[in-house]
Amino acid sequence: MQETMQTLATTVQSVPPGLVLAQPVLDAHAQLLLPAGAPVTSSMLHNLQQRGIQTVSVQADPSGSGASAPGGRKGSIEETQARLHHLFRPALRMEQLNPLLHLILRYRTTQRPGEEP
Amino acid sequence: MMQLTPEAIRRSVRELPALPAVVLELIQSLGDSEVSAEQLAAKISQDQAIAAKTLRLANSSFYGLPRQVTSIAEATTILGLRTLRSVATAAGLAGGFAHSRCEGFDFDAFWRHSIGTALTAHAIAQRTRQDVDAAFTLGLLHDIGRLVLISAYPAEYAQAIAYRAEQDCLMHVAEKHWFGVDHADVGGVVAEHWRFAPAVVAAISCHHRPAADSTRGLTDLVHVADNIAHGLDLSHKQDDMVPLLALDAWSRMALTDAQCMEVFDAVSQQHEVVCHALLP
Repeated sequence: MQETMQTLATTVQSVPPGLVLAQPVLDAHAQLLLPAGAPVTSSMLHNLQQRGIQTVSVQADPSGSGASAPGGRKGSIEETQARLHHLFRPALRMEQLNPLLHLILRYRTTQRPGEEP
Repeated sequence: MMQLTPEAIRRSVRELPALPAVVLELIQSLGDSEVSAEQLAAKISQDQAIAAKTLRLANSSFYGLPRQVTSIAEATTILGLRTLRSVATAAGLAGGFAHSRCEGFDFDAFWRHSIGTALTAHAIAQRTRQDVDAAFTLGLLHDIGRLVLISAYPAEYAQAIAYRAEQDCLMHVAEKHWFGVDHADVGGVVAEHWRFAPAVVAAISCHHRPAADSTRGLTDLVHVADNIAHGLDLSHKQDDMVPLLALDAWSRMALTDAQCMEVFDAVSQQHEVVCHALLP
C-alpha cells in the first residue's frame, strides 16, 4: 500500500528545516533551483530568501520527527546508526578506526545552530 | 578469471564507445592553460546535449549566479574558464557511457556517487585551499576505470559484481579477484592515455591506497572525498559500503570537526540539484 503524504505550501520564513520539498523550486525564469525531494536546511532557506522566493511546498511530517530520506539529516537515531554501521561494515569487520563514522552519525543526529526542533 | 595487462587496458580504452568528440577535447584540454575562452565556448556549443546540461548546471543553485545565463559564451564569462570546463566535462561524461550494458551495474548509483565525490572534493578543496576545479573533475572521474571495465568486459564484470554480492566485499577487491587489477589501476591507465596531468593520474590510480609517506595533495583529497560520499549514502544503493580510510591521508587533510560538518551540509544540499542537472 502506498503511503500518502500531505503536502503543505508554506512561506520560506516559516518552514522548519528538516522537512522535504514536495515540489521543485523554480526561479522567475522557470530554472530549477531545488528539486522535489531535497531536504530543507537553514542555509538553503536563506539562499531562497536572497533570490526572492516567497513560498515553497513541503511534505508534511506526520511524526513530527523530521525527514528521514537517505540524503536527509534527521531520522531516528537507531535507524541512522544501523544504516551507518551497515555502510561502514568493512572497517567495523576489520576493527579499523574510521573517524567519519562518528562524524557522520553526529551530523545526522544533532541539531545544528539555526535549525528549529 | 583473467589477468589484465596495461597493454590490454590501453586497447580497451581505444575501443571505448565513442565519447562525443567535444568531451575528449575537453578532457585533453584540462591540463592546457593555453586554451582560450572563445575556443572552449565554441567547442561546448557544438554539442547541443552537453551545452544544454552545462547551462542547466550553471543556472542551478550550486553556482548561485545572480541572474540566468542563456549562452555558453556568457557562462564562460561568469563562471570562468576552468570551472566551465569541469562542468561541461561532467555533462559530457555523464551521458557518454549510457549505452554500455553490464548485468547488475547500476549507472544511476554510479553517477550519483561520482557527483557526490565531486561535490565533496570541491567543498573540501575550498576549505583546504586546494584547486577546486581540479577537485571537482577528479571526484567525477575517480571511478572512470569502472566504466572502461564494464564497457570492454561486460560479462566478466557482471561476474565480479556477483562475486562482490556473494562475498559482501568491496568492489575493488572483487575486481582484483576477477581481473588481476582494479578500477583504480585501470583508471590510472585511462587518465594517462587521455594525457591528464601526472598528479591527476596518480590521484585516480591511488584513490584506494594513498601513499603513506606522501605530502598532502589531490590523492589524499579524492581518497577522503570518496569515503565521505559513500558515508553520506549518496548513491542510494542498499548494499553500498564505505572503503577503508587511510588514516595517514586523513591526518594530512587535517579537517576540523566543524569543517567536516560544513562539508556534509554543503554536499547534502547540492547533491540533488547537481544530479538533476547532469543526469538523464
